[in-house]
Amino acid sequence: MKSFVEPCLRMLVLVLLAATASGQTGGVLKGSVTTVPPLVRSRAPIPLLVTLHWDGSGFLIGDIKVTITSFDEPVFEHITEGAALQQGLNEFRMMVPVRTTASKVFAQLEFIPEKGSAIDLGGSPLPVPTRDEQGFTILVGSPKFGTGQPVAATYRSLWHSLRFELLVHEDASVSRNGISRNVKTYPALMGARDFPKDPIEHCAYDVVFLQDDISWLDEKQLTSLTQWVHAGGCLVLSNPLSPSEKFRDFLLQMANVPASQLDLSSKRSLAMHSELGRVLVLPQGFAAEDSLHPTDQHLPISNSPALPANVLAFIWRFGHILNSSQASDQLDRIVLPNGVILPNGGVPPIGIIYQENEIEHGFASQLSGDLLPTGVEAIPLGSIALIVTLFILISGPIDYFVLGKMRRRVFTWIVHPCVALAVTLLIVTLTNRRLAVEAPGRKITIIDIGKDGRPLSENCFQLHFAYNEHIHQIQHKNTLVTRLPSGVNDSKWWATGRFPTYHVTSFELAKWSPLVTRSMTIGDAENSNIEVPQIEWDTIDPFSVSDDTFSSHLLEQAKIHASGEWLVKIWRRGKLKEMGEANLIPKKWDQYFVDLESDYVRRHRRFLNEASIFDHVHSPSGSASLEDIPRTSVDDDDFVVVVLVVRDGGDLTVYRRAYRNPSSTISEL
Amino acid sequence: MNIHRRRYTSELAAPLLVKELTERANRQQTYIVRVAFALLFYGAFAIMAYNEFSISAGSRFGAGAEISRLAINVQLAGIFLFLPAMMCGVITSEKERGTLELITLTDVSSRALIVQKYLGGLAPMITCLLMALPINGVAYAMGGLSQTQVITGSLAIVLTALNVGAFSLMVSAYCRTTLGAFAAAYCLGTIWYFGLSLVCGSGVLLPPGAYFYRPSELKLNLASAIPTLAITASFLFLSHKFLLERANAPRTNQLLKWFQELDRWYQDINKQFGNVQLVKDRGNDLPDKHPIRWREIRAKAMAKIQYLIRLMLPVEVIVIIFVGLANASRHDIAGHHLEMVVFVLWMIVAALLTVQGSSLITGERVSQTLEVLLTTPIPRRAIVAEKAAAVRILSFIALVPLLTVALGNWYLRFYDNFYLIVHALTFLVYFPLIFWFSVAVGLHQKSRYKGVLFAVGLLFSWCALPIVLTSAIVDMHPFPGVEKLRPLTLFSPASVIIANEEWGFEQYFSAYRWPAFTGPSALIYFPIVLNFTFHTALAIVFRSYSLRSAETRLAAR
Repeated sequence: MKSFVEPCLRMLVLVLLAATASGQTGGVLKGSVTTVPPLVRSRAPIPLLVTLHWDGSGFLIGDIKVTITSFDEPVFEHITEGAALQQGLNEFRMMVPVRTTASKVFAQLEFIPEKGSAIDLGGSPLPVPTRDEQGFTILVGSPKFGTGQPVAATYRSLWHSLRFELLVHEDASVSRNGISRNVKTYPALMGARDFPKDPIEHCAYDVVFLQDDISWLDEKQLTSLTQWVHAGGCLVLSNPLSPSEKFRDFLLQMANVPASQLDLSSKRSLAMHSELGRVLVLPQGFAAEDSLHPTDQHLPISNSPALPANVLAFIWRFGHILNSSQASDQLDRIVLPNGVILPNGGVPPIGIIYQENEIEHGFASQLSGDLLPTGVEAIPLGSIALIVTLFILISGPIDYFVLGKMRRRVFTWIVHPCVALAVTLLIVTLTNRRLAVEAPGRKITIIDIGKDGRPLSENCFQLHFAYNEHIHQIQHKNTLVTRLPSGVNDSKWWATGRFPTYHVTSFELAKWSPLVTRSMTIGDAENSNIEVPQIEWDTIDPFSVSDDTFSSHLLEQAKIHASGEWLVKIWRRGKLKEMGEANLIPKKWDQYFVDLESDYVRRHRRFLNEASIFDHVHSPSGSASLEDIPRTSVDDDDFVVVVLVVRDGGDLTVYRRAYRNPSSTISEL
Repeated sequence: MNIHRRRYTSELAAPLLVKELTERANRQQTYIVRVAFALLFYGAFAIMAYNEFSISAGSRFGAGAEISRLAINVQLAGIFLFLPAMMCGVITSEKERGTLELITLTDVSSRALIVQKYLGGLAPMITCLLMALPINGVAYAMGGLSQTQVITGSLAIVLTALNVGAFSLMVSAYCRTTLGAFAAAYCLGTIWYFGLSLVCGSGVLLPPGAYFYRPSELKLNLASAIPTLAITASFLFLSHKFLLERANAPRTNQLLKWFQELDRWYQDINKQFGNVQLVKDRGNDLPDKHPIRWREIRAKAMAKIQYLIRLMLPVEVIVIIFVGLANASRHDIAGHHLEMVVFVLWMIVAALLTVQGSSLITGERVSQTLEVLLTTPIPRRAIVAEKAAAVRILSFIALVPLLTVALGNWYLRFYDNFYLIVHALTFLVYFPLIFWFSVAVGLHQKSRYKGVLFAVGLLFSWCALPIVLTSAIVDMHPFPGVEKLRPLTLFSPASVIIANEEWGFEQYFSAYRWPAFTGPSALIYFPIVLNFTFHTALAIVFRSYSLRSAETRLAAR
């Protein structure tokens, strides 16, 4: 009955709107597109705010089209179909897919009315961080934002205390009047109406900062926020003087600890680990008005309430602190008073030029080789070298002596072009024969599992291999999609539709040229369609069962749920153990998986002291930089990561569960 | 009727082309060049594409497009760099030998002469391009490249060769001497192919424009071939026109004429503003001593100080604008632009010094004045020394814009005295080195064209090869400790200039763990001392060799 009534009601509303619209009188339509924060997060989806002002009477119905271009190439085309503009101001929020290398992004706005031709509403450049900049964003949530109610200056300015720049001190050449020119943190102020209802929408932000009790958020918003934090996000809450039950329950649910462990009366900040993400609860009274200067959001840093460096380090996932002599060469101007801080657990791109090529190029290149379709094999280089050598010999000495013997050396002007052409055609023909296999590329899917076996996030790396030059299209729902740069494939890609709810991503594929895409989904099965086997993860919690029980349960679970080839790996206390000798996936995959987990760490070992799984997790962004994929460390005693790898045909699925020592879940900073 | 038929048959038989091709086919050198080119091309290609080759076959897929682009770029660069040099002497050499009149007396029409000379001149380049053709197949086998792209790439190369060849032939038909044609081909070629392309948009004049724009669209590439072929035909038509009109063009020092015109214009302007003369023209005053030097300064445009100052003025103004802009913005990019200005200025100065040095004696030989000079009581050694002294003015003038940029960079680098000292040392050491090296090369050549060509080619190789080869080997990392080969780049005169502007000097000996190289001062100063000592010694050797061998080489025929 419900399924029948709902479409009917929608139809009725549309008919009413159309009827109203038919009676509209002429008016002027103005519009603009801006990013939600003044500068968006680096290497993350871009949140946009489309503002349309209609001064005619009645409703104006039509499609809103936003075209995003980068260096004059189309990047994204968003169409909101059947939008009804009422008289006055109309706001629409949307997201644009991540572009890792684009620094010149331009938005063009059009309105296509039901009747009549498209109205060009002009365009504007979008403030995207350049390659020299690192943009951070904090989603600042408060029930008063967007309601028209007066907002106290303190509410606007609290986010200043969380800014990334407070952790770093840059020398005069990269900062101006104490304000960084390379590292920039900006807020996106949101009230209840605009606060994201889908966990994917949170991916545009590094940190979510809620200044009041959470009671102003509805169930859907709280669920999406929880899912995002569990997938690796960072939530900062200011502890109200009298926290509500809902607030306390929310925190207990986040940390998954007994109520006795949560002491909200603490005078210090509480750092809580929540699956792959973390929650920071600021101490009570931190936001007291007398500690703040009553100005707007452009408050000077010196007037913001101070947070200790270790609290900021927790928020921004700093790995550790090195002394300046250890890292002065690598850091290029980011210096703390007591030493040097390396953000992101050791990777030094922040504040300097982002070195995207180093990690993701290597990773994409490795994946390109490993995920090629079965049967696709290049001509060995030895054969090519042999053909070329023969060609040189024929064109040089053989031509000279044989034609000389025949006293017809002048024929070299015919023989030589013929030989060159024949050799080229030979290689082309050989290649055509050898690569005349048409099979799809393979994929590897990494699914992070949380408490009760719920999926936290899914990252899928898929190889697309074309046998002819064409445009490859993929449809996605609630998914962030990007292309990994591989160095050999610089083809164009763009997206259309409603991002990230439903969109079609198109890739220009060259002949026999592999392309690896990354797609990321956050949330449980209901929201994101992530399928997970019913593994009894609780029976293999290494912190609650004995080692022997753990091993036997693990093998049992692996055999039940991985009918084909499988592999189990455990990272624990600095030792990499392997279990399950039978049906082991070939050594190549074994090595590959080790690389996948430790490559990031290994490449930057010189920067690392005490890396742990959380040190390498950025808030989810779905970008090609892979900074947001959790990676394990062999040195952290508080973690055990159990990984089950299942091979299904050519595809691999990796299920990972990170167990944390319950005693280390909440700590005071 | 018979005459017409005979001429028609003669044109079809293409005697000049057949003669040219037969001679080349019978020469062992043709095949050696073919093999040498193939080894160089495929060797360089293997080094450049080493990264693609070193990874697994699977990961290599898709690299074909990049490899093809690289190969096409190399071939296009080869065409633009070498084809003008190969073809600019096709007609001028006949003029210089006085054989052009003889050819015109035969049955071969002027039109047929042009076509045959054109095809004959293109033959060596086409041979080389054919040697490189299979690289398209190799790139195709590596994926990422369609068959259409293979065809359009080859089309772009052939069209470029035809176009540049016709352009060079036109210049050759116009000019009186091969050296003039050589200089004109490169100068006008740069303006035509690159300068005008910038103005009109690439792809309009440059044949490979369509290829770079849309390599996989065959129709677009074929359509873009039409204007290219039309321009090629126009060049050939003009070649034919110039051949007839300028077969017996009288000898004129056009550059000197232009300078005299410019001088008059400057003097007119000067009269408007007080008529102050810093350098007075001494007119026809005869010298008391150094007669050769006096003659050089009077006769040559590039030796007269007032001409040089006036030539330098616009360059200096441009440089000052660059420096001013860079200082105003105080940004890394501006600094980078200044570095580029330093490199461009160095290239211009090196080219001027090389041309002056290598044609010091060959110029006298070609104009048949060397014998007259040798009859004078002046020692041969003194002839070379005095002629060289006249070129010194050019060096001093060239110093001005280079010093201006250096001072700008010094300021941008926060008064980096070390940078300025190294910069000054480069002038002191490399100016004489380049000049005396060119003199030594020129002494061994009979024609000015060959002298310039050899000197420029050798200097270019000397500057580029140590850097390119060492960097390529180090980047390939074929064995552990290969970084220790890095100091070999110091054998290139360009290495210190580039290191001072961009690289820094720490890298050369950082791989060595000897106690002497542990400190930063040793790492920085040692490469500089090594490089300048080596090149100063070489400059002294070249100078003494040139002066000493003047006794024997000047009289050699």
